[in-house]
Amino acid sequence: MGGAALAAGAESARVCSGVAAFAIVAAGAAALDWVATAVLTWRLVPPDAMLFQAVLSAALYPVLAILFARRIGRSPPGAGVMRPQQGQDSALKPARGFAPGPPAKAEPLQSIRLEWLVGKGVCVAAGCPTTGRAASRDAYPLPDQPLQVTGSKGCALGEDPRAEPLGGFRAKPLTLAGTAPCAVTRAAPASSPAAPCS
Amino acid sequence: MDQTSLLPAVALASVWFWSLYRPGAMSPPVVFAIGLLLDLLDWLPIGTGVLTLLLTHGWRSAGGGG
Repeated sequence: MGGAALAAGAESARVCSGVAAFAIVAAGAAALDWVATAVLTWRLVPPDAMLFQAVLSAALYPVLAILFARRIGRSPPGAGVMRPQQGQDSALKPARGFAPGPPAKAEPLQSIRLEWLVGKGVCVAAGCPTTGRAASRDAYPLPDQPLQVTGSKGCALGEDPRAEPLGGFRAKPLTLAGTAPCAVTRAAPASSPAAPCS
Repeated sequence: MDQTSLLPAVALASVWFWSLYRPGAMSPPVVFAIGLLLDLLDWLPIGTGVLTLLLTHGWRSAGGGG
């Protein structure tokens, strides 16, 4: 209760100090305007206009400040969060919270794919055992990995595993029609050696 | 209260506010253009509004006025 009153008082004092600072600026600007007008026209204009101009500027400033602060989506000057920003070069600079950062969550499609893979019985987490369908996925080359078969007579692939877009989950296993020993080499991790033909 | 009374007040308040909170949006050429427009619309001697607004902007940019 007392803290809120103190905070409100501090905000009011800050607003009043901002308006007072602008009142001084407005008085100086009006005086400068009056002097410049007198010098350029070589005629002494009555100072009432200068005083009226200064008072009108100081009276209009809070209203305009509130409107401008609404325009930029912040509170009016001296009302808490709004602070003068020195050295800000552009209104689109990320100092105001527009900085692009990494997404806090994964993309929606990514989670859907993961759920689909889990529904298929495929382990998608790190450290999964390379058995079952996951092992078959590891055994088949991905579409971006070229399949290189050494040897002229050798393994006949029952189905091109590259026909499956996600690495061949539903592709049939390798069926070997040849009798000659062969080796399927590809850019695979050293932990999963190529299965020898039998 | 007519337009000639309101124009300098609105221009000065606008230049002060945006120079304080958006210095990039209120560059000296923009201030010069506003001052020139103010002089033309207010039937003032050309240069008085420009001088006043540019000095205000420069003082604010130099850190004056809190």
